[in-house]
Amino acid sequence: MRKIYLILVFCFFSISAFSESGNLECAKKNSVNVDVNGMVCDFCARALEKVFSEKQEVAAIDVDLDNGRISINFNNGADLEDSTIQKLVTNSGYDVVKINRCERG
Amino acid sequence: MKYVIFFIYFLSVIEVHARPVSYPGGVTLMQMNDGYFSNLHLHYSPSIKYSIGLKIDNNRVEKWTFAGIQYNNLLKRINKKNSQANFYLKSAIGSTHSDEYPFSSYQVPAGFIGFAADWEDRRFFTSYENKSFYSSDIAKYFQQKVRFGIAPYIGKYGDLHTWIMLQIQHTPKLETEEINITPLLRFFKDVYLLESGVSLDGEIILNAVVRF
Repeated sequence: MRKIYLILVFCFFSISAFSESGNLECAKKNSVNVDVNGMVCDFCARALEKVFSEKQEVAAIDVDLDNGRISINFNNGADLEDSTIQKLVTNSGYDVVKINRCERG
Repeated sequence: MKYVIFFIYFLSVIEVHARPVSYPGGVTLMQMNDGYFSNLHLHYSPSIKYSIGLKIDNNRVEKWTFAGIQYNNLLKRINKKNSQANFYLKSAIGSTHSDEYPFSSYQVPAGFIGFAADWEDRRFFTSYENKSFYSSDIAKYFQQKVRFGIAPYIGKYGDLHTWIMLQIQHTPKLETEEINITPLLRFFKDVYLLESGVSLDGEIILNAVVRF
Protein backbone atom coordinates (compact mmCIF):
# COMPACT_ATOMS: atom_id res chain seq x y z
CA MET A 1 0.00 0.00 0.00
CA ARG A 2 2.84 2.33 0.87
CA LYS A 3 4.46 1.61 -2.50
CA ILE A 4 1.23 2.43 -4.30
CA TYR A 5 0.94 5.63 -2.32
CA LEU A 6 4.51 6.60 -3.23
CA ILE A 7 3.88 5.82 -6.90
CA LEU A 8 0.73 7.96 -6.86
CA VAL A 9 2.59 10.84 -5.20
CA PHE A 10 5.41 10.49 -7.75
CA CYS A 11 2.90 10.49 -10.63
CA PHE A 12 1.13 13.54 -9.20
CA PHE A 13 4.34 15.57 -9.03
CA SER A 14 5.48 14.31 -12.43
CA ILE A 15 2.21 15.38 -14.04
CA SER A 16 2.38 18.73 -12.26
CA ALA A 17 5.95 19.27 -13.40
CA PHE A 18 5.07 18.27 -16.98
CA SER A 19 2.07 20.55 -16.94
CA GLU A 20 4.18 23.46 -15.70
CA SER A 21 6.88 22.87 -18.28
CA GLY A 22 4.20 22.98 -20.96
CA ASN A 23 3.16 26.41 -19.75
CA LEU A 24 6.72 27.69 -19.77
CA GLU A 25 6.25 28.37 -23.47
CA CYS A 26 3.85 31.14 -22.52
CA ALA A 27 4.91 34.05 -20.36
CA LYS A 28 1.27 34.70 -19.46
CA LYS A 29 -1.80 32.57 -19.92
CA ASN A 30 -3.66 35.23 -21.86
CA SER A 31 -1.01 35.48 -24.54
CA VAL A 32 0.12 34.18 -27.90
CA ASN A 33 3.65 33.36 -28.96
CA VAL A 34 4.56 34.04 -32.56
CA ASP A 35 7.71 32.76 -34.24
CA VAL A 36 8.88 35.41 -36.68
CA ASN A 37 11.46 35.36 -39.46
CA GLY A 38 13.72 38.35 -40.09
CA MET A 39 13.64 39.79 -36.59
CA VAL A 40 17.34 40.48 -36.09
CA CYS A 41 17.49 44.19 -35.34
CA ASP A 42 16.22 45.87 -32.18
CA PHE A 43 15.79 49.25 -33.86
CA CYS A 44 13.67 47.75 -36.64
CA ALA A 45 11.68 45.43 -34.36
CA ARG A 46 10.24 48.55 -32.70
CA ALA A 47 7.80 48.43 -35.61
CA LEU A 48 6.15 45.40 -33.98
CA GLU A 49 5.59 47.29 -30.76
CA LYS A 50 4.13 50.28 -32.61
CA VAL A 51 1.84 48.24 -34.83
CA PHE A 52 0.52 45.95 -32.08
CA SER A 53 0.16 48.71 -29.50
CA GLU A 54 -2.42 50.37 -31.74
CA LYS A 55 -4.75 47.41 -31.12
CA GLN A 56 -6.94 47.86 -28.06
CA GLU A 57 -6.96 44.08 -27.50
CA VAL A 58 -3.21 44.10 -26.87
CA ALA A 59 -1.86 44.92 -23.40
CA ALA A 60 1.81 44.56 -24.31
CA ILE A 61 4.21 42.62 -26.45
CA ASP A 62 7.54 41.10 -25.53
CA VAL A 63 10.20 40.75 -28.19
CA ASP A 64 12.74 37.95 -27.96
CA LEU A 65 15.43 38.59 -30.55
CA ASP A 66 17.42 35.53 -29.47
CA ASN A 67 14.67 33.12 -30.46
CA GLY A 68 12.94 35.22 -33.11
CA ARG A 69 9.74 35.23 -31.13
CA ILE A 70 7.18 37.76 -29.93
CA SER A 71 4.74 37.21 -27.06
CA ILE A 72 1.51 39.13 -27.42
CA ASN A 73 -0.20 39.72 -24.09
CA PHE A 74 -3.89 40.50 -24.35
CA ASN A 75 -6.14 42.53 -22.13
CA ASN A 76 -8.64 40.53 -20.06
CA GLY A 77 -11.13 38.77 -22.29
CA ALA A 78 -9.55 40.11 -25.45
CA ASP A 79 -7.97 38.21 -28.30
CA LEU A 80 -6.87 38.55 -31.90
CA GLU A 81 -7.47 36.02 -34.62
CA ASP A 82 -4.48 34.31 -36.17
CA SER A 83 -5.19 36.00 -39.50
CA THR A 84 -5.09 39.43 -37.82
CA ILE A 85 -1.83 38.60 -36.04
CA GLN A 86 -0.37 37.40 -39.32
CA LYS A 87 -1.39 40.63 -41.02
CA LEU A 88 0.05 42.84 -38.26
CA VAL A 89 3.38 41.00 -38.29
CA THR A 90 3.55 41.25 -42.08
CA ASN A 91 2.71 44.96 -41.89
CA SER A 92 5.61 45.34 -39.49
CA GLY A 93 7.93 43.92 -42.13
CA TYR A 94 8.36 40.35 -40.92
CA ASP A 95 7.17 36.86 -41.81
CA VAL A 96 5.17 34.63 -39.47
CA VAL A 97 6.52 31.11 -39.10
CA LYS A 98 4.17 29.77 -36.44
CA ILE A 99 1.53 31.04 -34.05
CA ASN A 100 1.43 29.22 -30.72
CA ARG A 101 -1.75 29.65 -28.69
CA CYS A 102 -1.27 29.49 -24.93
CA GLU A 103 -3.70 27.89 -22.50
CA ARG A 104 -6.39 30.28 -21.49
CA GLY A 105 -6.80 30.90 -17.78
CA MET B 1 31.81 29.78 -59.56
CA LYS B 2 30.00 29.34 -56.25
CA TYR B 3 32.44 31.75 -54.60
CA VAL B 4 32.04 34.29 -57.39
CA ILE B 5 28.25 34.24 -56.95
CA PHE B 6 28.66 34.60 -53.19
CA PHE B 7 31.10 37.49 -53.66
CA ILE B 8 28.73 39.28 -56.05
CA TYR B 9 25.86 38.71 -53.62
CA PHE B 10 27.99 40.00 -50.76
CA LEU B 11 28.82 43.18 -52.64
CA SER B 12 25.28 43.69 -53.76
CA VAL B 13 23.64 43.62 -50.36
CA ILE B 14 23.80 46.97 -48.74
CA GLU B 15 22.07 49.87 -47.06
CA VAL B 16 22.93 53.09 -45.40
CA HIS B 17 22.26 54.53 -42.04
CA ALA B 18 18.73 53.48 -41.32
CA ARG B 19 15.93 51.98 -43.28
CA PRO B 20 14.40 54.39 -45.80
CA VAL B 21 11.00 52.73 -45.34
CA SER B 22 9.37 52.21 -41.97
CA TYR B 23 6.11 50.56 -40.87
CA PRO B 24 2.58 51.81 -41.71
CA GLY B 25 2.11 55.15 -40.00
CA GLY B 26 5.79 55.39 -39.03
CA VAL B 27 7.64 58.69 -39.20
CA THR B 28 11.44 58.78 -39.31
CA LEU B 29 13.77 61.74 -38.94
CA MET B 30 17.34 61.37 -40.16
CA GLN B 31 20.04 63.99 -39.80
CA MET B 32 23.42 63.21 -41.29
CA ASN B 33 26.70 65.05 -41.63
CA ASP B 34 29.98 64.23 -43.31
CA GLY B 35 32.89 66.21 -44.67
CA TYR B 36 30.86 67.65 -47.54
CA PHE B 37 27.19 67.36 -46.74
CA SER B 38 24.69 68.07 -44.02
CA ASN B 39 21.37 66.56 -44.84
CA LEU B 40 17.95 66.11 -43.38
CA HIS B 41 15.41 63.51 -44.36
CA LEU B 42 11.97 63.31 -42.79
CA HIS B 43 9.79 60.56 -44.16
CA TYR B 44 6.41 59.00 -43.56
CA SER B 45 5.56 55.41 -44.46
CA PRO B 46 1.93 54.78 -45.42
CA SER B 47 2.84 51.11 -45.86
CA ILE B 48 5.73 48.75 -45.46
CA LYS B 49 6.40 49.10 -49.20
CA TYR B 50 7.19 52.80 -49.55
CA SER B 51 7.79 56.11 -47.83
CA ILE B 52 7.57 59.71 -48.90
CA GLY B 53 9.17 62.71 -47.32
CA LEU B 54 11.19 65.87 -47.34
CA LYS B 55 14.87 65.85 -48.27
CA ILE B 56 17.33 68.70 -47.81
CA ASP B 57 20.96 68.32 -48.85
CA ASN B 58 23.41 71.10 -48.10
CA ASN B 59 26.84 70.85 -49.72
CA ARG B 60 28.98 72.95 -47.39
CA VAL B 61 32.05 72.84 -49.65
CA GLU B 62 30.48 73.85 -52.96
CA LYS B 63 27.83 75.90 -51.14
CA TRP B 64 24.60 74.76 -52.71
CA THR B 65 21.42 73.31 -51.24
CA PHE B 66 19.02 70.81 -52.67
CA ALA B 67 15.46 70.62 -51.33
CA GLY B 68 12.88 68.22 -52.61
CA ILE B 69 10.42 65.41 -52.13
CA GLN B 70 11.95 61.98 -51.73
CA TYR B 71 10.21 58.71 -52.52
CA ASN B 72 11.64 55.43 -51.21
CA ASN B 73 10.42 52.08 -52.42
CA LEU B 74 11.12 48.73 -50.78
CA LEU B 75 11.73 46.51 -53.80
CA LYS B 76 12.28 43.28 -51.94
CA ARG B 77 12.71 42.05 -48.38
CA ILE B 78 14.06 38.61 -47.59
CA ASN B 79 13.31 37.44 -44.07
CA LYS B 80 15.18 34.41 -42.79
CA LYS B 81 15.23 32.92 -39.32
CA ASN B 82 18.51 34.62 -38.41
CA SER B 83 18.90 37.35 -41.00
CA GLN B 84 17.17 39.96 -43.10
CA ALA B 85 18.00 41.51 -46.47
CA ASN B 86 16.41 44.55 -48.10
CA PHE B 87 16.56 46.17 -51.52
CA TYR B 88 15.42 49.75 -52.04
CA LEU B 89 14.97 52.25 -54.83
CA LYS B 90 15.26 55.89 -53.79
CA SER B 91 14.44 58.95 -55.84
CA ALA B 92 13.80 62.63 -55.32
CA ILE B 93 12.78 65.68 -57.28
CA GLY B 94 13.13 69.29 -56.22
CA SER B 95 15.42 72.21 -56.85
CA THR B 96 18.95 73.30 -56.05
CA HIS B 97 19.82 76.78 -54.94
CA SER B 98 23.21 78.44 -55.00
CA ASP B 99 24.56 81.89 -54.22
CA GLU B 100 28.14 80.87 -54.78
CA TYR B 101 30.08 82.52 -57.62
CA PRO B 102 29.37 82.40 -60.58
CA PHE B 103 25.79 81.95 -59.41
CA SER B 104 23.67 84.54 -57.73
CA SER B 105 20.36 83.47 -56.24
CA TYR B 106 20.45 80.76 -58.87
CA GLN B 107 17.87 78.00 -58.69
CA VAL B 108 17.50 75.03 -61.01
CA PRO B 109 15.40 71.85 -61.06
CA ALA B 110 17.22 68.89 -59.57
CA GLY B 111 16.79 65.29 -58.58
CA PHE B 112 18.47 62.03 -57.85
CA ILE B 113 17.90 58.33 -58.10
CA GLY B 114 19.68 55.57 -56.24
CA PHE B 115 19.68 51.96 -55.20
CA ALA B 116 20.31 50.66 -51.70
CA ALA B 117 20.53 47.23 -50.19
CA ASP B 118 21.48 45.70 -46.88
CA TRP B 119 21.94 42.38 -45.20
CA GLU B 120 22.34 41.76 -41.51
CA ASP B 121 22.14 39.15 -38.84
CA ARG B 122 22.71 39.84 -35.19
CA ARG B 123 26.49 39.76 -35.50
CA PHE B 124 27.31 41.02 -38.99
CA PHE B 125 26.06 43.82 -41.19
CA THR B 126 26.78 44.87 -44.74
CA SER B 127 25.20 47.53 -46.87
CA TYR B 128 25.58 49.30 -50.18
CA GLU B 129 23.98 52.35 -51.70
CA ASN B 130 24.52 54.48 -54.74
CA LYS B 131 23.10 57.77 -55.88
CA SER B 132 23.14 59.72 -59.14
CA PHE B 133 22.45 63.38 -58.55
CA TYR B 134 21.66 65.85 -61.29
CA SER B 135 21.22 69.56 -60.87
CA SER B 136 21.95 71.14 -64.23
CA ASP B 137 25.06 73.32 -64.11
CA ILE B 138 25.23 73.58 -60.30
CA ALA B 139 26.16 70.00 -59.52
CA LYS B 140 26.23 66.53 -61.01
CA TYR B 141 27.73 63.57 -59.24
CA PHE B 142 27.59 59.85 -58.68
CA GLN B 143 28.34 58.44 -55.25
CA GLN B 144 28.40 54.97 -53.80
CA LYS B 145 29.03 53.62 -50.32
CA VAL B 146 29.76 50.23 -48.88
CA ARG B 147 29.60 49.37 -45.21
CA PHE B 148 30.71 46.41 -43.20
CA GLY B 149 29.82 46.05 -39.55
CA ILE B 150 30.26 43.72 -36.62
CA ALA B 151 28.52 43.77 -33.26
CA PRO B 152 31.02 43.28 -30.42
CA TYR B 153 28.25 41.82 -28.26
CA ILE B 154 24.74 40.57 -28.88
CA GLY B 155 22.29 42.66 -26.89
CA LYS B 156 18.77 41.77 -25.98
CA TYR B 157 15.71 43.74 -27.00
CA GLY B 158 15.82 47.08 -25.19
CA ASP B 159 19.56 47.01 -24.53
CA LEU B 160 22.01 49.54 -25.88
CA HIS B 161 23.27 48.01 -29.13
CA THR B 162 26.70 48.78 -30.53
CA TRP B 163 28.15 48.22 -33.97
CA ILE B 164 31.70 48.74 -35.16
CA MET B 165 31.58 49.68 -38.82
CA LEU B 166 33.79 50.53 -41.74
CA GLN B 167 32.41 52.76 -44.48
CA ILE B 168 34.04 53.10 -47.88
CA GLN B 169 32.64 55.95 -49.92
CA HIS B 170 33.47 56.44 -53.57
CA THR B 171 32.65 59.72 -55.27
CA PRO B 172 34.12 59.84 -58.78
CA LYS B 173 34.66 63.34 -60.08
CA LEU B 174 35.51 64.72 -63.48
CA GLU B 175 39.24 64.92 -62.82
CA THR B 176 39.79 62.77 -59.78
CA GLU B 177 38.27 59.81 -58.04
CA GLU B 178 37.85 60.21 -54.35
CA ILE B 179 37.63 57.37 -51.90
CA ASN B 180 36.88 58.05 -48.25
CA ILE B 181 37.37 55.32 -45.67
CA THR B 182 35.72 55.89 -42.34
CA PRO B 183 35.70 53.65 -39.29
CA LEU B 184 32.68 54.47 -37.20
CA LEU B 185 30.62 53.41 -34.23
CA ARG B 186 26.87 52.99 -34.31
CA PHE B 187 24.76 52.96 -31.19
CA PHE B 188 21.05 52.45 -30.92
CA LYS B 189 18.57 52.06 -28.14
CA ASP B 190 14.80 52.14 -28.31
CA VAL B 191 13.90 54.42 -31.25
CA TYR B 192 17.14 56.41 -31.23
CA LEU B 193 20.18 55.74 -33.39
CA LEU B 194 23.45 57.63 -33.29
CA GLU B 195 26.61 57.00 -35.24
CA SER B 196 29.88 58.80 -35.48
CA GLY B 197 33.31 58.33 -37.00
CA VAL B 198 36.35 60.08 -38.36
CA SER B 199 37.60 59.29 -41.85
CA LEU B 200 41.25 58.56 -42.59
CA ASP B 201 41.31 62.10 -44.07
CA GLY B 202 40.07 63.55 -40.80
CA GLU B 203 36.49 64.22 -41.87
CA ILE B 204 33.86 63.72 -39.19
CA ILE B 205 30.69 61.73 -39.74
CA LEU B 206 27.84 62.33 -37.32
CA ASN B 207 24.42 60.84 -37.98
CA ALA B 208 21.29 60.65 -35.88
CA VAL B 209 17.99 58.91 -36.53
CA VAL B 210 14.76 59.01 -34.55
CA ARG B 211 11.75 56.89 -35.39
CA PHE B 212 8.36 58.03 -34.17
